[in-house]
Amino acid sequence: MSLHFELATAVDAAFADHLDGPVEQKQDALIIRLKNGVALTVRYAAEDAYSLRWTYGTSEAAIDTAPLHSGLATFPNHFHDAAGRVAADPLTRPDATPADNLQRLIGALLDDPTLGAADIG
Amino acid sequence: MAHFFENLDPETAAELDQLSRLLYELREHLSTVLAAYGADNPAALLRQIESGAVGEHPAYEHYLSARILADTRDAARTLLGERAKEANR
Repeated sequence: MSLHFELATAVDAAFADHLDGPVEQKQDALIIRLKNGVALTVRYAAEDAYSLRWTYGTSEAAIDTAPLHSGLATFPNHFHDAAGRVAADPLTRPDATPADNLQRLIGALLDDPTLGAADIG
Repeated sequence: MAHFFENLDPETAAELDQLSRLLYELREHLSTVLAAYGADNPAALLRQIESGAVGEHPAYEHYLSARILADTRDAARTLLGERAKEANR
């Protein structure tokens, strides 16, 4: 929970102009709503165990570390795009700090809420 | 047996009460998450995901939730113990 508290504080400070309200803190997750319509749910249990799942309109996508896609270059972290395809994670790294990963993702979602899903074959 | 809060100042009693309630909520929340999978702990749920016994999602999110809730419960339990010990010195 203290990790989530730190992440919420960092996001509130770094993206204040892009947030549609303060970061919402649940017992097991953070909810981050961006002004561009993205709603991001963050579950960060440890540096190498996380799920970052977002909705944009009717679409839903995620980056997570479930250890199930060993054929991907970024195993265990991977990207579920809005079409239901699974691909290598284009953004986060389990050896990076949670704050760096989260800020990198939010920055990318502000630029492109689909995270370039249309370009993934 | 004397009431636990009997010799505590109101501020400390309120803090301990709040921590106790949080512990209860965390325990119930964790129990609900794990019970949906018949798992005793987060590691057991992860094994179910790895073996394919349950689908990847939302089970993995529930596994992370369980870890976060368990870690928070442990931290709150430690804090409550420390505060209770300080208050009863």
